[in-house]
Amino acid sequence: MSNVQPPALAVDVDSDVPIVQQIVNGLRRLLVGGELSPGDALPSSRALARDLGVHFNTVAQAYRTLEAEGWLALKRRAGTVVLERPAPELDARNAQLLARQFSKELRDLRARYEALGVERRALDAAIEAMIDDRRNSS
Amino acid sequence: MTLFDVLFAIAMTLAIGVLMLFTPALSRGSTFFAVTVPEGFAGSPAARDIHRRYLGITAIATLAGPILILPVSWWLSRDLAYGIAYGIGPLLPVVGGLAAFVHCRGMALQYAREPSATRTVSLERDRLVDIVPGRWWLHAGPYLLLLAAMGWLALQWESIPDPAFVPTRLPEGTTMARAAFAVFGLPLTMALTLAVCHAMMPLGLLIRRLPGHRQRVRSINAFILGVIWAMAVMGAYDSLAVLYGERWITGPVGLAVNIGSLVAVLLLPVWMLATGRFARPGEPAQGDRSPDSAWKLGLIYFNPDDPAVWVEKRFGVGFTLNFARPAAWLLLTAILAATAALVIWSLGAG
Repeated sequence: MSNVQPPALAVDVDSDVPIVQQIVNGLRRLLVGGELSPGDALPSSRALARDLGVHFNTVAQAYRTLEAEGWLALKRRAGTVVLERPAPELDARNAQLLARQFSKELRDLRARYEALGVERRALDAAIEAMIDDRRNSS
Repeated sequence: MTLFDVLFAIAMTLAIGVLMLFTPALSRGSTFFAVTVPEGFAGSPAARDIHRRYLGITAIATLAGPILILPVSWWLSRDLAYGIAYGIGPLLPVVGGLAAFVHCRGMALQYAREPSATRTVSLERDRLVDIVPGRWWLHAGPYLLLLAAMGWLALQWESIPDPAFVPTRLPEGTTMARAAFAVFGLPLTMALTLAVCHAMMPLGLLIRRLPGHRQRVRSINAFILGVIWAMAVMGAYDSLAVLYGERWITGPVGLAVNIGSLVAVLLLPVWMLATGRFARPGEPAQGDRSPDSAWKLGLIYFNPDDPAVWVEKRFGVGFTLNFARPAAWLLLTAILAATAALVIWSLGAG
């Protein structure tokens, strides 16, 4: 039996983030991270809804969002399949703009969690752990 | 009652009792008597006390079986003795075990904790080969065994006494005129029962995939395969009694084959548990996340917020229905109607 863990998706039903958004984010993370590769078949929206214990329309909506972004193909017979998605072409100026926007969103996010009472040191450690993970996986 | 019947009824009762004694150990690690408990709770002194109480009540109910069967087989009329020995005797450990379970669940509830809000599921699609163990011949074997018995009976048709001893006619009458129904009835009915058991295996594709899903469903299907083999061995052997007479079943070989198959199949999950085939070691602590309140008495699942129709049982081996879904009631009605139709048909035919 293979020791490679199959891709898994987690949702937190108590979170403030809507479940549909959690599913989209979770799947997008797996797609970007390469844990889901082009040609991989995903469970049907009905099966995934049953496994997660959420409404069928919630999963269907998440799948449609990722279809609109070009990540998935929803086919009647073959089910939901991961598509080959070419890397978006960006010129240097747009890339710089997006990186700046990412930096701003990250600062906003940190400020939001600090306002909730989380220590700055803990948030920095989380960001560093994320960077380490990224380095180790690449 | 014959000595064979008394011993068979007692063996059946004791084997069911042993199965009931081990049933709590087959639960997922995240639950204890169908209650969501903190990780590692099962090893605590409080948990051991509750478990001991379950074992005590179930053991008493199990031993009550032989204590009931022995005197009734002696003193009561044949029909009544059969009814009690085969009907009430084996029910005692089941009823006692369930009562002990409900009692112990009540005790465990004080240690309950909220199920985790995080739900993790595998995105891998399951195929039938992932959840059904064994190669094709392991699945075809039981049917071939029954077919071989039927072939032998067909070849020896002229040697079959007329009227012939028919084991399925016990206890009212033990003989029937030599006809296709009397001779091939038992192996055909058994083949149909095996097919129903086989049809249960793909159900694993329809249930919610909790952590450790594949290995656990494979274990459940391995147990079903064991049941199929035991029934096939008993069915093939017993169906030859029309040719060789009553002693074929009630003799020492018949006793060994029938009681041996029965005990082997009921002890199969115990062996699977002892060898780790029920996938408890290493299983993620986060298992069944359904709320405890949705499990009525810990046995019946009723959760309107859960889209799943089939879910894994919290007590026992296998799956159960979410009775808050109309599809579950439809399925239950269909199953009951099919069973009733089969019983009425067999009574009419017999």
